[in-house]
Amino acid sequence: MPIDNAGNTLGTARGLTLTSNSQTFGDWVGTLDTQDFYRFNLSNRSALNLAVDTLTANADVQLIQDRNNNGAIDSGEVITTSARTGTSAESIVRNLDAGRYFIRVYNSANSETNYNLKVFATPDLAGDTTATARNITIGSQTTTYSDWVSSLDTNDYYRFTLNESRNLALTLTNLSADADVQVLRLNSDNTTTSIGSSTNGSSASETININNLSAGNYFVQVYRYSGDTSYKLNLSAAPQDFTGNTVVTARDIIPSSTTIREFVGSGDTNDYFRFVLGDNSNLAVTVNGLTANANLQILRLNGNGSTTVVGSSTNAGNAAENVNLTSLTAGRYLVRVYQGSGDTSFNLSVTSNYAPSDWAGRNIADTGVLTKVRSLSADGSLSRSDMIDIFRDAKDGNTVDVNELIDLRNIVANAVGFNMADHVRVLSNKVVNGDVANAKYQGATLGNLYAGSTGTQMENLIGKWFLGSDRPATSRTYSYNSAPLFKDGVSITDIKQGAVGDCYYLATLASIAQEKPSYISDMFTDNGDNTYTVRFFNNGVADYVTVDKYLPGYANASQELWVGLAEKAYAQLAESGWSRGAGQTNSYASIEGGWMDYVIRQVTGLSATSSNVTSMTKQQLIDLVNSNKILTAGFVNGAGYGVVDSHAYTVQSYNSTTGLFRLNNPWGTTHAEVTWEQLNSLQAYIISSNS
Amino acid sequence: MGRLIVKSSTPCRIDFIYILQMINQKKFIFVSSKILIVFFIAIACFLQSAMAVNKPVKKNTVNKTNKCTTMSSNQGIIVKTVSLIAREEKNPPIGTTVKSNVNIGFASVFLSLENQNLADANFVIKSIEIRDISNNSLQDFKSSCQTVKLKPLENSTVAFHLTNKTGYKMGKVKAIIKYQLGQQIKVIESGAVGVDKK
Repeated sequence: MPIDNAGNTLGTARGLTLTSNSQTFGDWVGTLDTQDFYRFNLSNRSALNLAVDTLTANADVQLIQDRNNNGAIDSGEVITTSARTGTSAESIVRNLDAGRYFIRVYNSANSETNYNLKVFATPDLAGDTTATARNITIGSQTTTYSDWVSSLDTNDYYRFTLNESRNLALTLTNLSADADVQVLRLNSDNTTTSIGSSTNGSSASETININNLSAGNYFVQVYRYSGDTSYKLNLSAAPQDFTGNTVVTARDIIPSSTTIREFVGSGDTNDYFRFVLGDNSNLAVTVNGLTANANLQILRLNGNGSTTVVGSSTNAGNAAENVNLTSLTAGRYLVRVYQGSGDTSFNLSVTSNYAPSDWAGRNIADTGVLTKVRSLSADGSLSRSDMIDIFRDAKDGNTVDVNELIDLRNIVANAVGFNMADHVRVLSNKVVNGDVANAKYQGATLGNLYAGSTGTQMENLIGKWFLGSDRPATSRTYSYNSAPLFKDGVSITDIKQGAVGDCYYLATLASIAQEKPSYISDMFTDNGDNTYTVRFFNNGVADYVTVDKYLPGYANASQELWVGLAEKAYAQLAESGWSRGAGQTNSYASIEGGWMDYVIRQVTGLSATSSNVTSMTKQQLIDLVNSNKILTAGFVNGAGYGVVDSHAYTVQSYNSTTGLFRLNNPWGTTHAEVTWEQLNSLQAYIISSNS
Repeated sequence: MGRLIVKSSTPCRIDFIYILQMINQKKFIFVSSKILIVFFIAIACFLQSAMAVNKPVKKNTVNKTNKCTTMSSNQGIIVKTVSLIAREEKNPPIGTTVKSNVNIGFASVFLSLENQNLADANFVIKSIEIRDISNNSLQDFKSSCQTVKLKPLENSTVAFHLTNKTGYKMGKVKAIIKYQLGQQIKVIESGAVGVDKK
């Protein structure tokens, strides 16, 4: 008789110690040994997975629990049977509670066969809810958790805490069916928010990487999509990486005697440090303090984004790396420290004889731009015309290359250091860092500045934001208007609405002109070249557009420009997306129809309130009229008493003798005077600033 | 939710037409019998669709026809900020002709992106949701999968304007953007904002 390692009764069953890794037990059943018994204990609820294969004749298998411990298989103690015909492999997958179980392999119809019993059990250690989540600790090294999800255990939750910001890396592998995973943040009110998920189909592995995950409590939820599957959840939370891993995301440094402490290893194989050198520079770079192998390169960043290696050090083992270079040409350089083998922290020292005292010398690589900035900022600031000059210089060769783009962004980021006026900073930022409105210029595609932008694109961006040359679309013809910005100050009588349906805007401007005229005068910056930069507020933050002195035929017919330019600027602003909402373009049509409280906020930055007059008292309205608050009335519930429907007015005054409120019409004519009762009858909306 | 795919069998409408054709070809059932069959098919269709509603939806399946699902989303694109402007305007804007059946709910979502690649890159937005922060309920706005094309080293702010004819249900809301980065689906949220109601 062949081998017989397994007993033939429950009492003599061969004891097995199951793990989450599959084990194989070879044996034989036949006429002289009709059944083999195996015994195993589960200390946790587990997913059992067993197979009996490599059969040469028919054999079957049963999973048994001797519930009354009488050593016999009583009725109801066979949990399940796999009894396929012939030499087909037998298989049982079952979720089991903790306890003692038996496997019975038996022959059928006097057959004789060798067999392999393959079996593993994956414990269900993860809770099914956030409240019962398995607490785990995640460190720099990957930790693997084995578990399973099935129709009877659809969710597994793990809970972990980060005491500092870390880079989370998660994979879900070894799937045999479709399971998904997500990371949840535990909020202070005990709710959870999904902050990342991976939902690949079938048995494909899942991956989630979240960099700079802030300190806090988190859950990992592994959940069944279809089928039952074991899985391995692999987690690590590496220290936050303060140095970029590519040429573009390199960490800007200034060569000095300061030592930088950093790390390279698995998951962070490259650290790049970026700096500027002048002509004939010497450079000394040292990397030491290694506990594993790391290497060093010095690269020059070319204008097309490529790099040239100008020095390297690749010593073996933990030996320090050193590079010394002389007579380097001016430009932007990179130090690259990269993993050789293993994980290691390192100390980086970068020194050079190039040590300019000015910010420009340390941060601007392009020689032309550097010369221009140094020259123009000699007076202590960079003005609007200075920035236009710098932008134009950067498009030499009819392209804005990588180094020039980085230089321009550095300059704008250092606006405070250059004493840049706010409107110059904001408009420059739109040129170099993009804006929703950059999509179009004079009706044609424009686009944001990028590495490789043409000189034409740069010139159009300058025109759009600094020269007012992207005028709002209109069916009328633009003509130059030589009138002054203001004549005899700012007055409510300056408002005379044309053909554009922007009464809500002009009625508000009229009230501002009456109550707070300085907001109107402060709205405009005369650039001295027949253009004006006009200020608005986006959620309290100043935003700007520039307009020239060309106005369309139906623009305000006043002998001063401010109303027409404010109207034109508001039309230009529409394409930035925040002032007028959906689908607005740079056109007068975009400012047709609106509400005065938005205008109050956008023109003055003040908060505003809108109320139906029926919810106010007469005295409250009189108090508003007698204050210096911006005050308007809107009518959308019908005309009457000289008031036009779907129209906005400025509430200009109250006559206590007659009891009449004077409503100034932005048309400049057909003003109305109405009683409190008539305002109530018309259900006017009263919209005012809160201060 | 442009690329979410309901895992269900052949659409019920096709089954329905196919069975009717079979009935006509056989020509052995009277019209009244057809009506009875149609009734049962309709019930079956209803049950099937009802069951489909309760099925989980997904996901990154291999065969996809939606153009967004075939578009790769580059690594090296950073989402810098997300902001939301929420408005509800039950009253018509002043200065225009009153129209019927107009949108009254507006959500403007602004997304600032940074392409850190030295080449063109695509940023694939899977969905934009507007949710109430008090109970996480989904507001009645629909968004489709969208791809933003970025030039080398381009910084870009893109605006998405969502509208509806029902307005907002409750109080403060936030925008939740799900986007694809490589093989991952990532999520970023705006801060909570109040709904400016007219």
